[in-house]
Amino acid sequence: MIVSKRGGIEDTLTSVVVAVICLIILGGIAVLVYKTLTTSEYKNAGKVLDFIEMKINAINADESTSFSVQSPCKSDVKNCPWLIAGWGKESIKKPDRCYFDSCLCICKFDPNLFGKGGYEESILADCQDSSTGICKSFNFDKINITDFYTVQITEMFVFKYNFKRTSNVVFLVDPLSRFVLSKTTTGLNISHYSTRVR
Amino acid sequence: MKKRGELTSTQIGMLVIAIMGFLVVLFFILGFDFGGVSEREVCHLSVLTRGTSPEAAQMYIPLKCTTEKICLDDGTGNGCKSSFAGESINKISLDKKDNAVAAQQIDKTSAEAMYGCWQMMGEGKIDLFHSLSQNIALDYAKPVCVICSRIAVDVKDARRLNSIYSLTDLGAYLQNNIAGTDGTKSYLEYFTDGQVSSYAKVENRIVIDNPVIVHGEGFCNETNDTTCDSSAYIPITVSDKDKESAVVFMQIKPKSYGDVLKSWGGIAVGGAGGAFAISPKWTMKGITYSTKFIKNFPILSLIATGVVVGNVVSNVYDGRKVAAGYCGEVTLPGVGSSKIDKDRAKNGCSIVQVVPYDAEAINKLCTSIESSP
Repeated sequence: MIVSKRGGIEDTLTSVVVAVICLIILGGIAVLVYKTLTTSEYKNAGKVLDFIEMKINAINADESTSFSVQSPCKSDVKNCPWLIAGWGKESIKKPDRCYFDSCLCICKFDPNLFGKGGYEESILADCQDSSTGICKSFNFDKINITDFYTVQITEMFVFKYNFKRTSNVVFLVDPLSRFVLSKTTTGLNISHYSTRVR
Repeated sequence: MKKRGELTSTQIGMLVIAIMGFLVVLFFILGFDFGGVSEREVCHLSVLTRGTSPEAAQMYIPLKCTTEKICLDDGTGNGCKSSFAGESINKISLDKKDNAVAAQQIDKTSAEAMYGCWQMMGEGKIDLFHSLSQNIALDYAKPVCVICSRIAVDVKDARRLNSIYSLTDLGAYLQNNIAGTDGTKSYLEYFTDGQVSSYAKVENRIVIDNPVIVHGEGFCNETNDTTCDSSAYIPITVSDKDKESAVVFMQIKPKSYGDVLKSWGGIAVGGAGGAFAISPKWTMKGITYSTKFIKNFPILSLIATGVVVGNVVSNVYDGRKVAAGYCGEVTLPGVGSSKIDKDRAKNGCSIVQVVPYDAEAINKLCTSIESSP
């Protein structure tokens, strides 16, 4: 039995070329799928912030309004990394892109940054990066964000506890989140009411 | 000399062309800018693409569905600014004088939005929200929604608005009007696959508050279905009385034990076959090592298998229990409840309904929303 060496090399070469082409195409498709999914999340996040800005502009001082916004995440919403954060003019630590203004941002929380400087620093970094955060400037001395949520230790546990946490951050972990906005002459208060028991 | 079973260069060429053709189509679907096509058509196309792709890959094919914003405006308000300011809206002029005509317009708009939504999402015939982890029961089925439309009514005079709302009756509209331009079925028959044409039994139980229209495998065919629970009834409740409502498509399709077993079998056979094709030597080695491990550590192997099997069984059970909860009885604030045959409800359902555009109502119905706002 004689097998030509040349033929053997040619066959191997063809297989290698086919394999490489397939790998490139598969890699390309993976990148495209990832890009499509993340771009749509980013676009949705932008829409959420536009909507909140519109609501802020629609009310006068000492008025309030309530509305619902959809989470930018389409799947696994309860672990959605997108958050809304706000900093007043008086805040010392805020993203550089806010300059001296107050600003409201919607940002994608990166747990990998969490270890580098803690929670607050991580959120600042996420909001500063324009690929993971979108910010809008406002004219408020103070921005308070309050999160109202319910905690049940386990499903078996009957008692549920209601919590109120005032900070400058709220995660969009409900499919639809209810917000109440109220304006004072110098500040903005944003209340988020979570319907999901945590 | 050609080895037995070896692929010829023609076969390889054909295979590569086929793969590339498939990928070109996929690139087209994922990346093409559908500027000239209506949003509804784009959504329907993405629904079909997802519905016809392998179940394991479904979640990676994005649904390109955007919520349509419909404003019913009598010209006295601010053009639904409080609901949709800054967004592109579809405006419909409400009759300025006749409240009955205005109420009819609201019902018609809601019914048409439901009809469009049901058609766009494949009339409940396409399973859209399966992930690989759900197919092999490492996770249980959850209800996923698409908000097809948001409908806002803008009438400045509150008294007139209340008067209009008191005249709306979406349930009756769906029952008495033909769906589509060339259809023969009423909206209700269309949403329920023609299984129900009369709601005499239901009418007494109508809760004129919010609408719930249910379609699914759990439906009772009241004329000849002996398996149906006699207390089961099809709900028709009306929700065209909110300043802003949403037309929501919800689907939950849990896997049965048989389906899960089939998926595990497919993965085992496919995985082993693939591994053998790539490297027969290493596959055989892997099998030998696995056998050795089982022989040496039988209790540990048994416990590990028990944990996986237990998890799978529990997830299938939970998924079917959740589906029974969502499909057997849909309860929303102010809506009341609707019941369908319990056993069949466990198989899941697709529902199109109109609910208040309110976080509490929608979050109770959906664990996630796949449409873009």
